[in-house]
Amino acid sequence: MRNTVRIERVKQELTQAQLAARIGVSRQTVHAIESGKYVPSTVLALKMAKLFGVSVEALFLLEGGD
Amino acid sequence: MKDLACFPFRWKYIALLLLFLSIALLVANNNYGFQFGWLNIHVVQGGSISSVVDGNQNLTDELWTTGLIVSLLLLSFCRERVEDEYVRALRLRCWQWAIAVNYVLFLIADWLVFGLEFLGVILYNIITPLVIYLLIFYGRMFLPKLFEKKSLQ
Repeated sequence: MRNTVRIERVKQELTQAQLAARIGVSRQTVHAIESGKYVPSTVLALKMAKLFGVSVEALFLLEGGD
Repeated sequence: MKDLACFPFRWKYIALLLLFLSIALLVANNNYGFQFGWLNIHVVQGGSISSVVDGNQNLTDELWTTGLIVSLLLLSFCRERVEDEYVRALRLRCWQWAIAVNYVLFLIADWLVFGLEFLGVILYNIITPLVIYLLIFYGRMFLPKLFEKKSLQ
């Protein structure tokens, strides 16, 4: 699975720490999600999508092997 | 997911202080023969546990052993400042790795260390799962680039 979290975050001019504070997680969690090391729960994915004003499907995309 | 970390974050500072004091006492006791006089006891032979020792015993080594184990347990089970779903998933993954690595090391030692020295391996094995867990967990938390790219789901 790949995601566009980093792109959306930069569009909103947010740092990882600021995004983490907005959605109530640690900066390490945002880093892990952006680098593809962690796939977030549905709740967290929905929170990020709401914050960025995009759909979850636009934020998280399935890849061939998924 | 069930929370593995049950102690407050601020207890970590107490655990670190206790760990430092325990290591200092360990070095003083093992390397320089330091003992607390007030920890001298006389063990009377006859009880099921005390039958292995008889006479005067000093409990300084019991003190640093307890301090070491308690401080490592506290560090392992203290919550992070932000204990979120990623941290909880990471904890679980790191415990799995710590147990696996610990037993691989133990099996290697089983075939390479013999006699009384193996008793030392067993004693170290009391704290190695905690030490390995802490190294992997904090390594992955604060030095993520050192670890390979592997997704947690």
